[in-house]
Amino acid sequence: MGDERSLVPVHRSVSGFKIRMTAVMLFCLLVGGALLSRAAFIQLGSHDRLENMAKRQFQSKLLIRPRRGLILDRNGEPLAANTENNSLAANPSKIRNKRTLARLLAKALDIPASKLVSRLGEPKEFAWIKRHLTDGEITRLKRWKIINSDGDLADGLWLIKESQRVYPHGELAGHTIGSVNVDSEGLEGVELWMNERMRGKVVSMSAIKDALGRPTFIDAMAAKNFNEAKDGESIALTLDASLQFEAEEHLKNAVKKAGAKGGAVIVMNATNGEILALANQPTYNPNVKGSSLDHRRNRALTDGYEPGSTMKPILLASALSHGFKLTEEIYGEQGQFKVQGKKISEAEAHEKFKWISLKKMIQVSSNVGAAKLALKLGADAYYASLKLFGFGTKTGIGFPGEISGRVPQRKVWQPLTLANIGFGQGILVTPLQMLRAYAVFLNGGWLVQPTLMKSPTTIFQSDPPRRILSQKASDQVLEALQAVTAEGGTGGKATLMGYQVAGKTGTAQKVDSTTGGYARSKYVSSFIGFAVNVKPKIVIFVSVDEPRGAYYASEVAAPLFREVLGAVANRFSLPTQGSTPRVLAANKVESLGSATLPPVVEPADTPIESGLTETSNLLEFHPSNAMQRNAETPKLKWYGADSGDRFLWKMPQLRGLTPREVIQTLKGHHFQLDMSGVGLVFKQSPEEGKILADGDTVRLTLVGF
Amino acid sequence: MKSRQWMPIWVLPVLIGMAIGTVWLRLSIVRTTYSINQVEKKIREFQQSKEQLELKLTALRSPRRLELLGKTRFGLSQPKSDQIVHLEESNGR
Repeated sequence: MGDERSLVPVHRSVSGFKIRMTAVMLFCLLVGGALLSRAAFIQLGSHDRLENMAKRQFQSKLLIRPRRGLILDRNGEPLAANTENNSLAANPSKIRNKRTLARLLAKALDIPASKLVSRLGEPKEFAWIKRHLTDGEITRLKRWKIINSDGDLADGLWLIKESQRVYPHGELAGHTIGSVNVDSEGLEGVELWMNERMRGKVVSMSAIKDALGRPTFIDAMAAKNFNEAKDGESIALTLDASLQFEAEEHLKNAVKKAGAKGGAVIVMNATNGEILALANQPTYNPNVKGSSLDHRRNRALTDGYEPGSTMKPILLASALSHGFKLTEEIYGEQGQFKVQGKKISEAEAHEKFKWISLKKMIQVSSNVGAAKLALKLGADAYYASLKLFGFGTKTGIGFPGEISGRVPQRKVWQPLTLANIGFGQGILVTPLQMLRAYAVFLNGGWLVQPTLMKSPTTIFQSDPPRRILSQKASDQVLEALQAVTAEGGTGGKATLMGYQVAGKTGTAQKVDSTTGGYARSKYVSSFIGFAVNVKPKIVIFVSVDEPRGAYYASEVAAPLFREVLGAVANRFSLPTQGSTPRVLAANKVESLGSATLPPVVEPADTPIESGLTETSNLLEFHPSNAMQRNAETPKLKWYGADSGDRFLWKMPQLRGLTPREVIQTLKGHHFQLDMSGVGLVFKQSPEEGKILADGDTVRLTLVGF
Repeated sequence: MKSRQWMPIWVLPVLIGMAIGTVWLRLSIVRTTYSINQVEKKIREFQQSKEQLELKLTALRSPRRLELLGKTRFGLSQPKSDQIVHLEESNGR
């Protein structure tokens, strides 16, 4: 019995132990299983999220900002550059006493405190307080202890280095250069036009941080990204800063003197279309933000105007191309006549003519003569000529905001339209279009495309020059334009001592925006012209908008033209007639292209062959007016221009010429002349009729007879 | 019969050497990166100074300033056309 009693508890205790063990094991299994499944869940399910969290701890993201390209003038003078300064940013979530800090910042940075309070109150981790701090503002931040003596900022604030665009010459060429916003993104002008090229390439990359938070680049991919960050490309304009300054000064004085609303000056190389100066009034300083739109507008390119009498030479060119003669006379109607019931009368020409020649019509700027000529020429012919000269279409300069002007559609032309457009009313043109049209007369009939881009040359592919007028017609228009500045012409005040000046005055009535008709006392006075028989060939446009008092172009625009021409003559050493300027030293002025370099400065009595060196017969010739002086020698014929803006010429027959005659024929184009032998030219390379470009080598074999 | 060693005895030092080499290489890269960063920082500072100086120079030779200086400090005036001597590029002729 007793044994039985003793056996039962043992059995019970063993089975109890087993149960407990099983329970513990089950519990362990459950816990282990739960841990394992949790680990598996974390490892597999949240893998990406956790990996990113880890990465954030030891990796940092860097934004490599490129430097914005510079804007230079044709001689490398910086017109727009960069400087680095500090901007103040905040992390509002880390700022404790927002109100006090806002008040201090407001005092130091001159920002309304309420604005700062609301900015710091935003639930953000980043907010700009002020961009591009000045040195004075930094000093004030230190004074108000926002920056302590060690240079550390208050909690939640930090300084960020940023690049800022600056225009070292202030107002100079401001309308052309344009401006950028606070992030250095182009807003206007060349800054906007060339923004993509100048801004460079921003690269975002990640680097591993060390214990102190310093970035380290230890993988090849990061280094590759780092090298991919590219600074912006610098742009060189065709503008000449010195001439630009002179043009702006003369324009400012003229506008002030005339009490005018504004004005414009454009100076262009007639041969290759390079704009050398482009001035507008009123002007503005791109360094100062908040200038009015009216001041910022580049009127010379983006505003249209009715040209008035400066359109008459275009009409003359059209007439000459259609068989009219310069000496041909048209009935002057004794000063006034009616077309479709509207009276047309003389304006600038105070004389009343019975008969007037085409040349005289230009010289005295006869409205009646121009209207009669237009009616005689016919709408089809004149309309076609206007289109050929490029009116009604953009010049292709590429500048943002350039307008095409407006030539009324041919189908709506009435006789009155034709008569009005004959003397430059009822048509909308831009100053640049007019300038380009006048360059045709100076170029012997070739229409060039204006350009503002000097380099990189890949940016802008100019259309090749187009012949739109015969040499003869062009010469005749030139003759008429020269008469304008001669005695009895309207442009007497445009003449400059020592130069033969050709050009045309224009006094155009402006449309009154309220009535829709022509305003009685609002005019645009303009003069377009050039010095003839000098190289480089430079054409100048000047206009004064709404002059008060004397408003005739002969009184307002012509004197301004003379001032600008004087500046051009000084800047590019245009030789005065009969002068013997001296060679003194080297200058660094960028040449105006091989075909348009300033003429050789040699005394007139120096034999041309004196330039030949004894040691070498490979000679680089300098330009002069020899081609124009000596009509007997064969002439180079202009063939066009190559992609590098070099002019192409047709090789003339040189066989039988003396070296002097050869030099007279080829001078002016930097040809490399390789002559062998003495006597007359026997053999030439390239052959007659072959095309050669400025700077090419011409080989001649001379034989004595 | 002698039991064969499962790994030659020299393998261990080689492995340790390789491990140390790798760590050393890694540290060298980091050190070099710091140096590069320092030099780049210096370049940036110099570049910044150069830009500032160039800007100053540009502002100093601004035509407007030069004209003002010429007129006020040196009492100069605009020359007449016959007073101007044109300088021509000298090309060794």
